[in-house]
Amino acid sequence: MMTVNGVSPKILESVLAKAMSTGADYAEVFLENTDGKTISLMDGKVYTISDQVISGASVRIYKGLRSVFASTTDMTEKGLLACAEKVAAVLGEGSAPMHIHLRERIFGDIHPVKIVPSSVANQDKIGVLKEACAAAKAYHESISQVSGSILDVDHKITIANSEGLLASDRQIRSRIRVGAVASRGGENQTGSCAPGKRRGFELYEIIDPKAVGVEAAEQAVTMLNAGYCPAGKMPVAIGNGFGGVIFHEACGHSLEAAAVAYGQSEFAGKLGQQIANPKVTAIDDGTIPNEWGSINIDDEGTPAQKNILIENGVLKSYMIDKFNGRRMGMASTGNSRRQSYAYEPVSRMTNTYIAPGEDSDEEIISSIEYGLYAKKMGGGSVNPVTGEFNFGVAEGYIIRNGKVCEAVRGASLVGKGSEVIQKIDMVSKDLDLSAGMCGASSGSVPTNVGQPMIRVSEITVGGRS
Amino acid sequence: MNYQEFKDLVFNMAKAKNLTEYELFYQEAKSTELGAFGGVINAFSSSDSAEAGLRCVCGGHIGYASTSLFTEAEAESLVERAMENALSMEKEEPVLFCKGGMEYKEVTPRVVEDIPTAQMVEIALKALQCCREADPRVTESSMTSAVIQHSTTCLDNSNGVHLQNTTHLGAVIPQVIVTDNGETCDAYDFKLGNLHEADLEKLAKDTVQKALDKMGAGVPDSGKYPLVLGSNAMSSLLGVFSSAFSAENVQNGLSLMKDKEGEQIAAECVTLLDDPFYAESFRQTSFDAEGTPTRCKAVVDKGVLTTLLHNLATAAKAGVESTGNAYRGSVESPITVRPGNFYFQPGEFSAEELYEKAGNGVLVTSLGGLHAGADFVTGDFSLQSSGFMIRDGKKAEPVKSFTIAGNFYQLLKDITALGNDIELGLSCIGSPSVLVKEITVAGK
Repeated sequence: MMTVNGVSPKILESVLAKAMSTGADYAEVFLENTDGKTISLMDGKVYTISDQVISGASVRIYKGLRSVFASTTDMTEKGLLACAEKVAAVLGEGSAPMHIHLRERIFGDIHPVKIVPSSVANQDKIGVLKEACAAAKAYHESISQVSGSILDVDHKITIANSEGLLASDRQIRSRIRVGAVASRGGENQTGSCAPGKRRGFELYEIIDPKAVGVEAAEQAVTMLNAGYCPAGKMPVAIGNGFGGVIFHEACGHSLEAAAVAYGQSEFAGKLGQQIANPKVTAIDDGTIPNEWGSINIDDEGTPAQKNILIENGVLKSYMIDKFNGRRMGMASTGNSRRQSYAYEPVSRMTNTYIAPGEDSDEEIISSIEYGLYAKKMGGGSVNPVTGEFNFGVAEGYIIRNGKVCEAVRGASLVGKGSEVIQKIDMVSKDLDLSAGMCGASSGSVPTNVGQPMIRVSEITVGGRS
Repeated sequence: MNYQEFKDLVFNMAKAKNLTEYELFYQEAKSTELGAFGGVINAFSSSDSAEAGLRCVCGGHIGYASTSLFTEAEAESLVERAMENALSMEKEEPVLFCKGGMEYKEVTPRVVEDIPTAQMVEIALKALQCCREADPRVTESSMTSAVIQHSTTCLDNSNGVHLQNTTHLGAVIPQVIVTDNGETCDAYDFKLGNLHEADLEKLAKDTVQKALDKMGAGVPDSGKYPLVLGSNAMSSLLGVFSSAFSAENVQNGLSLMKDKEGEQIAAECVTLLDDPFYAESFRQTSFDAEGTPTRCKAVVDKGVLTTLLHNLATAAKAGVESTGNAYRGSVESPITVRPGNFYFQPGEFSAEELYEKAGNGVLVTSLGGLHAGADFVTGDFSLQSSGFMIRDGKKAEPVKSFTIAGNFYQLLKDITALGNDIELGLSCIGSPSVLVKEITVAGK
């Protein structure tokens, strides 16, 4: 039986019993041991190496719609029992006798890893990173600075709960990032590229480090030659891959139980209703093999699922964790996630994307008389209560008479989620996923965004010319 | 095992491996947080965390490793990992650790007292009740939370330096949702300090008013307007662009402040201070993440850039003294550079006077998506905004769903007046309201 840091099931059983002793109706223990390494490069030289071991545990209990949570770095039997005592004491006095018998579940691993990152020498990782950064630097004479990083995480978790579940998972992820700065006459423009997968060091057999560097540099140089984006309302074509951040922000966060259960979402109470354009089918799928946002089990021990959120514009499902599911009267969808033991898990996205449609990229571009082609998106944010979102356009072009014309910089897109998903009126066929880190109350977790190229019939473009 | 025991183990291990220069940086935090929703406490969390990071010199470079597992085996692994990483480093930097025997100013931190859980419960529930009672349009979905947190940082090194600092944070945070005629608006606010001293009624009223003020907001016409950036909005903008004052970013070609020391980079009315001892801040410290004594300084004085912010390595490279601005985001993070408490010195004008000076313009009270829509390397920003129109010198109707776009370095030059209001938030970055000559608004 493998558990994190070798904590025995017997100890976990007594910790759960202690946690339940004052009348809780559910208890859970989460154990974590994570090794993480990030090597960064600046000016072609190894600049920083951070090398981290995270080790800790948390105990959580529910009573009805109340939750009590405590975390600690002390993973001895004494430390874990103290943590359980702390949560139990919040519910009151008493010592109800509890007997919990844990049974190990094996959910399998659908994300095979070939090369465990900790078995790879620093020099080999540095070699890959240098190749990527050198390609960016060599791309054009205007590239004045290149920075990059290569990171890997080996995240081991064990979850035990009062329903008798005992499950463990080991999540290995790797990612490389190149950031390029292009300069001319006291002016800077930036470009970046940062692919990642739930894989070990074999990731770099699949993606070409040079291509990562070139993509970052190309974007910086393009933007250096760009004028400022015009402001106003216009149709926008949003490119595939990271373009999917529009759905992530405009809609995804508002479909998370953490917002819906409390009526803090503009999509609360709308299951079965037409909330989006019939062209839109959106999916959250934690089971795609080796993808950046994939998991075997979520951080409450529920196996990952493929959840159809919106089908032909009709709202089909939310993303739900156990605790908020209680308030909603709905089962977990395998979306409960957290950055580490120190965060209480809540519903989060995994790999979330707009499914391929019937249109083509060419049809979308040629349909726009005057508008913006947001080829690459930057990050964004949303207020789920009102649905107001915004995000930056990292690489944009003006579309004139159905043709992609000059590049423009400094654009952002703002709008309201429920309105913009009604205006997605063309969806292309070529789906691509792209890695990101998503921050919310349970910390920063790896998620994929994705989509084929889409057209938004009208959206406010923030620019300054 | 406590920090002292773990430190002794690690230092003995380092000596045994013939290391002569090493440093252990330690952070522990204890926090209690609870949330009130629907008239009951629906969430309670308590966390204890501790983490230690070793830096050591090996092969002429500094290597890092960190852990939250305090065992004998881990102490050895920590030293070995840091040594291995040092040998992979190529950055040309002086291998400097803080010297012993330096003088440190005394800090008088704003202590936040621990109170019994029952009293915290009472405060969170009372705050929620005050919000509900402030206006009938406040909905069931509103919530409040109460937080108490104590964080301790220790730094020990092979030069005999031993430093310790504790900061305290207490906050009551209402998150209010109001609905009327099918329109939903929200607002949040917080009150820092001792929980039992917070004026909950006033806090609730102000937060509810903030949400109500947003009701019925329209979208402004696109165009160029005189701009008043409210204190919150200007603080968040400074938060993004504070990185430009880091000597590390300048030396790496990631800031347009290169070679600008001694030059006029902002309007003459602008003074930007870095004060690690700012009395109103919950984070005060007499030493930075390398153990260098901290000090108060004007980074921009009457529009002139007087100094960049330095740590030991950037200072050595530039041939100056460290300004005491070494920073580590967390124990596992590398040393970088960051201001302590960073803020624009307030001016003489009230908010009303700034509106009057603006004439017909826009007041932006809140900016969104700063991590995406603003780039400190280029200075460019294009940000989701909300606020109010200013008509005939007076604050008028609310507006939302527009962006303001420009360049931060140009904006610094375009500031024509500063307000007399200032609040340092949780980020320890602050600003009064400022009047800016002109900004591009993208609305309808």
